[in-house]
Amino acid sequence: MLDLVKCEFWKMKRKRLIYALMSLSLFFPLILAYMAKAGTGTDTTEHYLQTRFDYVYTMMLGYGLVFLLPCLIGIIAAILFFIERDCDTSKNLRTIPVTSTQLIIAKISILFIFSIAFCLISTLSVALFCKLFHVGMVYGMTYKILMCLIFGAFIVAASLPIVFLIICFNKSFLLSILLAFFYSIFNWGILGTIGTSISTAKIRFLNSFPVICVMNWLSGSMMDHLQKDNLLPEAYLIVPTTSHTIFIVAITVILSLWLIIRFYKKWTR
Amino acid sequence: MIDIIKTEFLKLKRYSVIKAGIIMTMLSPLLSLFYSTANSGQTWTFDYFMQQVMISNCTLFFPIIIALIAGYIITREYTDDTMKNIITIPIPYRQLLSGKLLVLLLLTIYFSFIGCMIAFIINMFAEFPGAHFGNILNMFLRVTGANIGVYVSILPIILLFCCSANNFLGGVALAFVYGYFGTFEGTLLNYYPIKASMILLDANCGAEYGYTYHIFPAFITITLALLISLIILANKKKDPSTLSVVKKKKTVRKKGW
Repeated sequence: MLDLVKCEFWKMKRKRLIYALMSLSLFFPLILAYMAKAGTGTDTTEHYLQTRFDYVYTMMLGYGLVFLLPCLIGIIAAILFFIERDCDTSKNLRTIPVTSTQLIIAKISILFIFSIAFCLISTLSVALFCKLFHVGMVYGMTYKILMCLIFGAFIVAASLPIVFLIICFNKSFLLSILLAFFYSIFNWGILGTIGTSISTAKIRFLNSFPVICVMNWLSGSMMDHLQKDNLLPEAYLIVPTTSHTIFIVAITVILSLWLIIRFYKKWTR
Repeated sequence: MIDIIKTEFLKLKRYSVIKAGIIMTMLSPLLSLFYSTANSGQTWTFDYFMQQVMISNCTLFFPIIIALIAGYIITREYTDDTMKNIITIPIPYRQLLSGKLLVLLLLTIYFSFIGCMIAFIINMFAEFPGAHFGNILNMFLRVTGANIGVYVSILPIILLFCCSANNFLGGVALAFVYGYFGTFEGTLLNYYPIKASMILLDANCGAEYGYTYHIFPAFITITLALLISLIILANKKKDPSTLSVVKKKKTVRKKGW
């Protein structure tokens, strides 16, 4: 399996788009830190400075990872899964023999590695640019890095339905990219329905969507470790339990993997 | 030039990407309707609903729609291998590109109109107050104007990335990120082209977040974006080494023994 993952990395070397997408993990925190710098007041208390750093970090998590990352995962999944079809190398791999399931797991492992690397670089970049631009005070990095690694893994798991759709439609890069955009915008739209007061039924409905559930769970887990001056008491209500999050993520992974393997086998038959 | 535009419209008939554009345009009012279900203490009027449609158009949908269709109609000449025929007519590459960009502008207006019509129909069902003829016309013009502003803002990306079949998808992804930064709020964003196109039509678009924007810097930003695009267009040359797309020939299987 490790050999297969290594081979996938070799194939990715030639794709310039991957580097461009990875560079967003540096570019995005840069913009956020610069914008936060413009809005920073003259207060020099430790509490205020930590709040400013947390502001950039949570903006990176919310905008950069929840919204942007599923879209990037969709684009990379399209590149990874279409490469065998476009280069007509599927038959060579089958004669080695490499089974479809092995190949799929290797490709999905790449998605996990990309996502975790993206989250890690984003978090480190936030700290770096905040330090460089003097935006707040960099603190609690061990916890923040740990949480972003968990988040990186969970967000790929929550984005696997988009990989299934890409394989299911098996059309062009164009359609795949559109599907990835739609998935991101769809999640964004769902997030927009969260108001200042929210019913229990709606909370349950929102937390049944994998990306939203993961995001709400992560926010809830981090509440005690971040400065939370502007947090409404109602915000705690939307946080799902860890068991609920694991259940939703597990269901998404199992169902998506089953469908991906089924459709990929049909596709390469 | 009129002939080029006319032929581009004839080609458009066959492009499925236009249908994708219409579907994406329809999503914008639907997303705004989705937002209206949030209980955030905000009173939803027709004006506010259309403002939300304008914001989601400018930040989420139109940058992708414009870059996608631009890339598609420009790179079609390479993927369908028709560039050689056009060059021999002869039509200069820059003129061809200008024709395609003008068609894209007309499409932007067309999509804006469709988006507004869908928003109006949704408003009839959702019954947000304040929809009367003058207001409807005013909001239609605002949304269309903002979308034209987005078109101008996206032009440099189209000219730099979407003219090549190899970089086209990268250009669409870049347009997505570019539009996405427009969702942020801050005084610096007065100089950000996507936000500037919204500010030009509605200077109070950041009022609920406590930001005041100014029309003049926004106007300068959009003018600069247009000027940069014109400069790129004036220096644009067809590069056959990077733009050629080799199509695989399907080998015919031999029959019998």
